[in-house]
Amino acid sequence: CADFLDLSPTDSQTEDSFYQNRDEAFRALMGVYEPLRSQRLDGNHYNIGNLIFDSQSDDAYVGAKDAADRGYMKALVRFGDSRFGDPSASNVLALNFWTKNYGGISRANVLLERYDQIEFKDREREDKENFYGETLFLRAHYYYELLRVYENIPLILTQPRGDEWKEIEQATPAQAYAQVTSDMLQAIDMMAPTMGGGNLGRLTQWAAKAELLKMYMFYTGYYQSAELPTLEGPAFTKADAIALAEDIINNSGARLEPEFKDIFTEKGNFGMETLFEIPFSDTGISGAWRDDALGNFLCTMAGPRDFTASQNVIRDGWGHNIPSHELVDLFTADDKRSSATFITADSLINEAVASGSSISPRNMMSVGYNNTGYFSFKYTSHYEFQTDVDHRFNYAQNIHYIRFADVLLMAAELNLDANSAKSVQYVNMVRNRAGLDNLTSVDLDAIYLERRKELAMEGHRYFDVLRRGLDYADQQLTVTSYTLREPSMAGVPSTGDGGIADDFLVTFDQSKRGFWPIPQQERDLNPKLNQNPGW
Amino acid sequence: KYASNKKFVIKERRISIEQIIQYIEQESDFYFFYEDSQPALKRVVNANFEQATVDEILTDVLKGTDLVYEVVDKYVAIKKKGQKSNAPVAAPKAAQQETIDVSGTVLDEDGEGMPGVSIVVKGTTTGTVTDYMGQYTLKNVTIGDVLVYSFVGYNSQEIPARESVVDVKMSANVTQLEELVVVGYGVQKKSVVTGAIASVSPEEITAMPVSGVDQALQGRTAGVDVMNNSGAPGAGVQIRVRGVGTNGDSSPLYIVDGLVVTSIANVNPNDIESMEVLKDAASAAIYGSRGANGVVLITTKKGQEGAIKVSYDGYYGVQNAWKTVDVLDARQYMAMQNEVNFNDGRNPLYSRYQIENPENNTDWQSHLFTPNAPIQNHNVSMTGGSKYSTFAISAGYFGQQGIIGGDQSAFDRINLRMNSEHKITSRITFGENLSIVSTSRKTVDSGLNQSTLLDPLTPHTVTNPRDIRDYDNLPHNPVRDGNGNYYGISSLLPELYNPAAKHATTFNENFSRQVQGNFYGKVKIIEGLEFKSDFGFRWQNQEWRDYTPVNYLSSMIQNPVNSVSQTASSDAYWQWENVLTYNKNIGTKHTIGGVLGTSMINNTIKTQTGYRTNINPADWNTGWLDNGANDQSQRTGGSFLENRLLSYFGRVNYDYDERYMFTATVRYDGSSRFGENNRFGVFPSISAGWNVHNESFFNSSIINHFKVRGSWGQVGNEAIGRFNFLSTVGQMDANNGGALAYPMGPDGTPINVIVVNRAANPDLKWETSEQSNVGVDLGFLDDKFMFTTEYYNKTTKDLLSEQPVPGYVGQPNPMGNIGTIRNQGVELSLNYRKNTGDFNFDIRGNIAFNRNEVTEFNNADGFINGWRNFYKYDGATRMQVGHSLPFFAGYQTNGIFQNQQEIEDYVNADGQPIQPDARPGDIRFVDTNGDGEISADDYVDLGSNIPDFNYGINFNASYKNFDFSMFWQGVQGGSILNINRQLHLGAQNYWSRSLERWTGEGSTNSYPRATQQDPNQNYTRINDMVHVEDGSYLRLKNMQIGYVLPEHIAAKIGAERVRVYISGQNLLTFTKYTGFDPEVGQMSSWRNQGLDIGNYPQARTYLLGVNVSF
Repeated sequence: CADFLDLSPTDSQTEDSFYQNRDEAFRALMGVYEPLRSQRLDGNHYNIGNLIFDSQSDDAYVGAKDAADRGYMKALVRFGDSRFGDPSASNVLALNFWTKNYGGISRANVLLERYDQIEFKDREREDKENFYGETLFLRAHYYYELLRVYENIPLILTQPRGDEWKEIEQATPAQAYAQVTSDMLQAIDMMAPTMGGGNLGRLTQWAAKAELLKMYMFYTGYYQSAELPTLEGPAFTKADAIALAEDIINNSGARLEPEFKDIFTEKGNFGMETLFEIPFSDTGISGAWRDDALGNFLCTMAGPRDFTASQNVIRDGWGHNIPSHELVDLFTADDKRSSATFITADSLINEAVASGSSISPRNMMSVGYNNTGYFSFKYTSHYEFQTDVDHRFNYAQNIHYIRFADVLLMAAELNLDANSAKSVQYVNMVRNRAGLDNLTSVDLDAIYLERRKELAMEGHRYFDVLRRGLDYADQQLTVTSYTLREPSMAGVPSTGDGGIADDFLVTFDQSKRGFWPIPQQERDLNPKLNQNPGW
Repeated sequence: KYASNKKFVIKERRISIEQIIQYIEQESDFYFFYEDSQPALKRVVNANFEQATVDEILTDVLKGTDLVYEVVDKYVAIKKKGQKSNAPVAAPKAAQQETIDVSGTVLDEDGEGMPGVSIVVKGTTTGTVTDYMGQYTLKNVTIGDVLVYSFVGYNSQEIPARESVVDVKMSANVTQLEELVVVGYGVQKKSVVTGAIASVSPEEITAMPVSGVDQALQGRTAGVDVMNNSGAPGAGVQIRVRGVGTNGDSSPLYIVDGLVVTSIANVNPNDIESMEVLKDAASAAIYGSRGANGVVLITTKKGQEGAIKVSYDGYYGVQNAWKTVDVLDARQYMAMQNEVNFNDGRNPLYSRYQIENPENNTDWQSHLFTPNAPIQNHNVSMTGGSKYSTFAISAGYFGQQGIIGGDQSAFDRINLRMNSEHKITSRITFGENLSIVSTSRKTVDSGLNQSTLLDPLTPHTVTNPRDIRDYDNLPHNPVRDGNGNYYGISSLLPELYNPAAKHATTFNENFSRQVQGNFYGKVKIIEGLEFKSDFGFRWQNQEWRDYTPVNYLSSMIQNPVNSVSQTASSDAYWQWENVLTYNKNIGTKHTIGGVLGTSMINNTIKTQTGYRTNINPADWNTGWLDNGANDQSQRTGGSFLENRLLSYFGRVNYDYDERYMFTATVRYDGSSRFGENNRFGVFPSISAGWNVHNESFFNSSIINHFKVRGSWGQVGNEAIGRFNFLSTVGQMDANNGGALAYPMGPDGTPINVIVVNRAANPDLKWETSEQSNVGVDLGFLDDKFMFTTEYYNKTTKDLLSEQPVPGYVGQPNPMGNIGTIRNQGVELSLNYRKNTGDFNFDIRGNIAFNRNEVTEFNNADGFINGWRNFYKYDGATRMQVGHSLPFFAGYQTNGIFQNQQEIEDYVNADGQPIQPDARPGDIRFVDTNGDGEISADDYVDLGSNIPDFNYGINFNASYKNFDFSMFWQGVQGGSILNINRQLHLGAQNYWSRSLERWTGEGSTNSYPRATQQDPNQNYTRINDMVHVEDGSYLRLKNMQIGYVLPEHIAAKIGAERVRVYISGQNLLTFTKYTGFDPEVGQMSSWRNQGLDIGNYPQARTYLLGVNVSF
């Protein structure tokens, strides 16, 4: 009878019995990828990169129904504004974004630790090298996400077992960036140069190179440093960065999509322009406010609130990530990017009337919080991505996280001192595609303006602002007075500013240095962790 | 005349005249002569004699028979009318002073010789004992002396000595005069029970129209709390024995006829012979690692030797909602919305003209509740048997529709049962209990929330042509009612739906078919030693089907594509138990007993699920997977789970002269759920009792019964999940469920990923509950008053919980044994009965006080939150050291800011305002931690759903053919978190409590101003002013009036007895709670306990019933 009680789980394997062969390594690698697209929809904590960070910038507002709706998010991205929700380190979004990235790091660490026990066959040698490189790069990516948001973070390179977590302390930013830089450099060597067919969705060395470049820009800007530290050997210098940018521009195979607006259509998925692409899928899943719905939830979030009068252009959404007038007003009339970046309540209502809707225009959509009459038209509830089955969970619009245009503009910035002709050339490549005239000279502000317009509503603006220093951020982000705009259609409130002027005011809190708090839970469990300044 | 004044008390239902005679013989010196073959003596009557003489008794019971009686001195002859006395009455006189030697054999019921039977000449100490063959000889017995044959557990027999050979057949004591109590693996005489065991009578169980036996336990016994999950048909209940003992599963272990079952909800109440709740650890320890939360034992009815008896019990009734909550009507609503907008700095929405001439004034609740929802029950049972075989068969049907959703919310059950037992030889018995249960259930969202929050301006159904045109143009089908009208959709509140429309688009069903039972064989090895082998099994198949049609309930709640899901699960369980039982009397005063057994248990659960969309034809009847589209939307699932238990157990008990009792048990339990290092556990217990009233020194004319008992024991809780001790990898999202995947390739094909979903803890083990119990039982004035009190102290340690680790560990929390809970309590019950001829009544009351406190919790915070941040509420249910489990954690209030000055004066140490966003009329929150701001760190204990005490009062009375009963049940002191009102939706309607809001300086200090922006979070920070309410209530659960038809009328339909009754349930409720029903249930775990989020309320029921026996 002794073995009567010896049962094994039938719904899972144990950690010791897994990680045996190439296929299991692949499943584990997919586990490391998974948080990239995870929007962590559990418990209403919509943890969606672009939405959060655009709303933290001067390009957009969180929006939603009213002040309290998604209040925790507003409190956080408005630098601890207690008008909205929990402004403290207990903020649940601050915790969720943290745990999501550390989840990816843990999966990477376990796979790297188990890597020696995995048996790859001879013909799987490439996979063996690529998987390792991708794992290393993804871990670095998750660390970079954490570093630019929390700054002072524990740097964990092997999975803590038992009570080992009690001894962990925060690394200095320099230590952490050094590790991440070295990991990225190693990963670049091991990752494949291209991915195709069934492997579309895995990252190539060009994604790693592009992100290393982005990280260089952020680190050297924010910390006023000439170079990015590495663990051993020479630091990653500006010359390295320029060489890397040139490498990407010349050798990656990526190039500008001829028509700007195509980037955010079905054609844009795995299009020619994207270096770092995060895939989403229409699996027809229904009713799942969870990570097993593989659609891009950002689309539903950004769609116009309660708009069901017409479905021809866009479907109803939740009115988040509302563009600011400040951003919209930057676009000149001849800029082709404007109509691909925004859609107005006005045009949607007109289209609905034209297509025969009998609903009165004033009732076609709700006036959400910080309504401006504008919605993002990049990541949104595009009709062409819609599905019949529960569309809210099923927008298969990929996120084009690092685009070729971004690299061109970074290259322009890097060359500004040494080779201004190149700067002008790269900026004009971007401008020409937008249907704009050539500039004859550029300066940093001009490049910033081009970046802001080119990359609007794609989640980059906040970090661009931050890397020019806290005074610059304060000057850009703080809004001390605001005049409400009247509706563009008389008697249709959704076409103008909603609420009161106070709702649009923003105070950048320099004492917090642009970072989020270390989640309170972490400090409660491990008193060795220090809180970030200002929180 | 001898003893003609001797008075007897005989109160027994369904007793034969012969048994009454035997009882009189046993209790006195009367001696009866009659022919055994007189059929009239087998007649069953209801004896109800209080201090009656033999004359009175016999006159009464022989009335209507063909028999008469004659009393001569102590001899009573019963004979047919007109027959001459067979005159043995003269014999004793003639035989004076003559002596004889009497010898013979004493046989048991099976005709076997009975060793050890004592034979005593009545009134003397002269006597003997039978030998191992059952034979005896007694010399020099005076003719006419009475010989008393006695053996424990058998009816004593008294036989006058007249002949020299007297063979006696003993019969087991089947009269209920000695009450037996079912204990684990056996029965005990109630008089020698030493644990805390509560019995519930079958009459109490069938007194109320309940769908399940579990519901019938409510209020019946002290220390057993029963909370209805919801008033929805078939919703089930939660039972807690002596408080919430764990943060895990606090449900007791349920055992029916020795078989472990997962729920007793589907046991037919009419099948129950006895029901016991083992409350203390000493009683439950024989069940080892599963007894920590108490044990409920049910024994079903068995057949009796004798003529076949058939009975029918049935009722039919109607149910209605007993309460609606007051909400604002259309005028009040518009005025309130204007005020809200004014307070929030916006323009008013409604003009005076609009307010005075509301377009609609919809009372949503009137459209929600279904009037006169039917409830019915029919049960036929048949028992009987011969000397060799006995059986009991029953068939029952129970059907109930809901008071919300009508036949969309319904529960039906069919029960079939067959129990039988067969004597194969005098030593070998074989038997089985088999039951088949089939249930079907349909459920709807209660919609209660919606019905109180929807604006009254939206009509129930749309008649305005302009609106109809709008509806016709909506992208999906808005829902129509039976008359073809569209259900109204609120244009103001897209987050809510019209409940009638929702019910009309709700299609689901759940079928369950269950076969369970056990087969057993018993072998009598030697006298007193019996071996029993029992194989029990349970197969349950369940099917769910859910069809969602295309619908448009609001701009936010709509479903553009229809879908169906089907789920099937099968639960197969078997147990094999082998038990050796020994009972022996040594001399006349020592009784010893023992039990030794083993048990093996195996349980497997398989499930399969499927999901498809685009069902065609799109209809509930064709809503099956095969009719769905073959596209990417289809999904399947399936799983297999198994667990096992292997146990050894034993018990010894001893009593001396029914004065001193002692019991000890131990169980050695192994479970596949426990960690490698703690697979087996030992669970011991001891208990002792003292019947003071049996002491020679105890001599009271008032107290006739006085027992003191005490116990100690340890029991476990193995309901801790499967394989929690291992580090597992899998594709499930441990945080949230669902398979994790990453989309790959141009079409985004999901690749399921594998991740570590738990860290290992090989030391993981069961939770242990250690409990001491002291009890006193008292009976006064011949048990006219009976009083029982218990005190217990129960400590559950090694509570299992996720051991929180920082998020940077990156893996879901491991499980650990990390806490301790103490439950201490006092239980009292008092019964009183009075029988005076035609009028009888009794009152039974019970009350239980339980104090529950978490005494240890070893995570960094010292607490865990159960439920948190529901909707947007800032508050939690929490488990924390020094508090009861659970309690409501939220904000403490200190009145209302009456003016701006008060806000400015409320400053922290730095002189900064603590609530800078407050405006006059907002709540002043207490900065309990003094950090100068209001945040989650200021949470305090706002109270708990756990009451100070629970109580039940049962009153029964009868007068001649009428009977009356009344049952009250209540709780005192628990709180409810009323979040029905959801005070954060913009255009929502409000409960009438909002009329007491702050409207200006000095208006009130107890309810904040009306606001939707609510910058102070008056309504979204859970607080003691707005959200927490007193949940105390006292409820007339049941009242019943019955009438037994006169026999001659019953005889016309061939019945022996016919009783008709009317009964009402939930007739009166006294409570201050403003929600629909203070019985909010607790929804499966402590995490949600006491939260009212729109629970389906209990119904008020009226019904008409009949009991017929043939």
